[in-house]
Amino acid sequence: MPESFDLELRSVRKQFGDQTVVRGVSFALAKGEFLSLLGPSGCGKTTTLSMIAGFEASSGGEILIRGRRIDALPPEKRDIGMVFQNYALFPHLTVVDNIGFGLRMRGVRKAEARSQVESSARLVKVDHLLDRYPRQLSGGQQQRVALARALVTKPALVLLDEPFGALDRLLREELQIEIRALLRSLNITTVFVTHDQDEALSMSDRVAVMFDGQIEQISTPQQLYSLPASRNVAGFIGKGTFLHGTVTASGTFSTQLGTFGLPGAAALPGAAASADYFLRPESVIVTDQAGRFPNEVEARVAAMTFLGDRQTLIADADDGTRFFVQARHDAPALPIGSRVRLGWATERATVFPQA
Amino acid sequence: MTRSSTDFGQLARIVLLLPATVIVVVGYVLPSLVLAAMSFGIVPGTWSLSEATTSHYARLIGDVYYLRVVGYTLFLGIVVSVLTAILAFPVGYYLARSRSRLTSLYAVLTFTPLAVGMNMVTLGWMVILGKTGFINALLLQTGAIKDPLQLLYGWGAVIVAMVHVVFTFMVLPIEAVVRQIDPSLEKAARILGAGPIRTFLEVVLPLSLPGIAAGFLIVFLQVCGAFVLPLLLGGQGFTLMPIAIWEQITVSFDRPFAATLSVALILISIVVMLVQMRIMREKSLV
Amino acid sequence: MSLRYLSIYSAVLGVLFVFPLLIVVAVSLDPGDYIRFPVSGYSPRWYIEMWSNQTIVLALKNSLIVGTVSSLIGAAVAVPAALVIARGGWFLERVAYPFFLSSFTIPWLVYGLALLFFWGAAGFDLSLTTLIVGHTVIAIPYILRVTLAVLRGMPPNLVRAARISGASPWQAFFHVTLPYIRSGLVAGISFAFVVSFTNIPVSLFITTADNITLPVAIFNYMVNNFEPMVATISVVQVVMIGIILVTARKVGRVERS
Repeated sequence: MPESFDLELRSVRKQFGDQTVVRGVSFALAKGEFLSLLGPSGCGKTTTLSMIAGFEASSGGEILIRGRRIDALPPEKRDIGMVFQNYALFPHLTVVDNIGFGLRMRGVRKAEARSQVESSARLVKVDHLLDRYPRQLSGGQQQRVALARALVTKPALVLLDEPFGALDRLLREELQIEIRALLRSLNITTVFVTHDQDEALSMSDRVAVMFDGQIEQISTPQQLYSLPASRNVAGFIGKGTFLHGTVTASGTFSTQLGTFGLPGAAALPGAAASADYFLRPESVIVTDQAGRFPNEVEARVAAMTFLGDRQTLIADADDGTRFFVQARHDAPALPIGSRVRLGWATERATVFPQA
Repeated sequence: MTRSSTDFGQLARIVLLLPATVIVVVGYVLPSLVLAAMSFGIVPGTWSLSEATTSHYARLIGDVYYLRVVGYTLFLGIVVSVLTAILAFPVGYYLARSRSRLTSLYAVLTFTPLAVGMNMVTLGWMVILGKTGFINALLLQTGAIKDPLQLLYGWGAVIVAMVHVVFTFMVLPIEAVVRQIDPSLEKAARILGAGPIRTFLEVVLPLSLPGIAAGFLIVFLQVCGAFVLPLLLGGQGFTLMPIAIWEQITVSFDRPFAATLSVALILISIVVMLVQMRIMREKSLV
Repeated sequence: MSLRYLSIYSAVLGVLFVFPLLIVVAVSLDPGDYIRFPVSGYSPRWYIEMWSNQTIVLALKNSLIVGTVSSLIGAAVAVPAALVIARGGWFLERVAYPFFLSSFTIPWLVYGLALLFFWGAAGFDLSLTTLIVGHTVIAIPYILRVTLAVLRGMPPNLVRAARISGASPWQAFFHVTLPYIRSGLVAGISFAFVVSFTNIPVSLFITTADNITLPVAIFNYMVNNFEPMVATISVVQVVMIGIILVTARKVGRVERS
């Protein structure tokens, strides 16, 4: 078996009583890859992480690290580093002893351990805090110490469980960049759990979007955005407009607002199937002339949100469908209640068959 | 700080505290002073200080018999405290971490010896451990032994029954302190390479020490003050300080010396409390 | 993680703890004249005969009186003290509070002895009253501690809201504070009652034939005669406690408006 994958999950399942919380999760990570498990609360991402770490036993499937099955191993034997949601720094130990804990468990001699701890601390810039106790550190500092502790033993895999939740926005973004760069330079395979899509999209090589215990799509951030595989993924990542309707025999999409063109992508639902028609905000254009676009609707302006670098126009069509339209930051403000004409190119739409 | 309209004025404060103060002073402080006075040989009634003597204390310190009584009392206190700490910790940990609804039932269960009283507990153990009691009956029936074992009377019986009685005092503080330990600390230790035992020794135990110390103190004081249980289960010749005090009153009719022994017992309690407070201050963790 | 083993261990210990008490219940039903195992039979003989024993009946009555009165007086003095201490302040927290708790720390037997000497020196004969004083003193710390804990958790704005609506301090206490602390107070009083009702060491030296309490009476019996009736009376004592606790809980709830 080639050791091409650092981490591999094959149809991993978890059942609590008669509730299946994780159903058949599979993916494989090459060395140095950064994968995020993204999804709403309860989707099973944290349970999946727990199973990789060994805190929960899987109800089925296999977990392999570098080709070796680790299912039967207790957490302490899995050679994994982990950063917990609230850092979990040992309050009764100094920063030095916290970071060096893993080395001590492996029997590394004091002198050697000290130098490894110091270099790990330097990587995350806490080398001046070695003799402090966790309670004397700020949130961001504790975060870095937690990371140093996880990395010092040079594990095969690093797990991060929503590590930035307790930090304010600026600090969070700063740490995201720093930690991503650090992990990249160390070429450590990483699994990152979060419910924040901005975080997942900005940091990851690939993102696995989970709903209800399953991975609905696992792709690069770009693909997730432009080619969402399901309605759930489309609705979770970024913003967009959903139209409900049916596919007609003549290959168009019929809705209450009119008939629109179907994009020429593969895997379209068969005739008379009901489906969702999806448009990203940047795909919809405000037009002042009818007929410019193959697909057009009229809508009434509900709101116009100024976000600094762009504006979002929210307009409601006659059947109540809410359209999200991206406008330029310097586009003129449209009065609430006024009517606008919206249009889009057929190829910019994505269609999802209704399950 | 300006006084808010809902604060009590000075007079109101005094009035509200007065009844409790009176009762504690009259019902506790004064009797304690009388006790202390009697231990120095002062006779109530005449109250003459010229009669004060330390001869009773000298007798206590000089007599090997009584020194042994003191020693046995302390020894029992330590043995029971240590044993109870070891036995109760897993239970306290379990109650803190378990999400089962049975845990509140369990808390009630450990409390039962106190609710039923020493008579019932002692009687129960006497029937279990006696020569014609439960254990011997069982062993004789199954033919495991031919003659009944001497289980009752002596250190073993007293220790076992005392652990039963004080168990709840150790479980509760341990449960409280373990509840405050973030479970992800244990997970962190595990993922860093510590097995279950190592995790306990390196993380759980150090962080539980305040609870263990609190339980230890309560248990130790309970044991040192225990009377009915050691008397009935210890048998002839098993004398601890409370029993010695009782003997001085009911057998020897030597009130001053009983007072002296009592003061000694109080001093031991105070010393133990101070030691514990000292240890706790040094190890205080946020 | 290994919670399952711990639950088994705890269950085993739990059974071991209940076992001696079950044995006593079994023995209480033994109609024989001396305690033996296995029990000679099952009959309610002693449960019936115990009531013709004057000492026992008197002891039971005394214990009920002493327990009830001491816990209620304890509450009556501890609650006002708690109200004051809850406001805080260095003196109250560092001096007054430990002072009221101090009777916690004295071994009960020693305290009983001190009471014996004290009443003798003060010229009072031993009676129910002298007994009640002692039991009240040991009740105070329990009730004070519980009440203080509850008061410290009470939002200060509750009383302020009442006062601003026109309530006098007494009215605010009666209509706001008291209901708030009711369940904690009832728990504290119940606890103090149990402590008093089962207490031997404090009562031992200051009870005579007239003011004897139930646990002391049982104790005397146990020392002198090893009969099943000792078990029977003990079980009755426990049942009494159970009845009173349940009643107390009901009383604590009924008066909710």
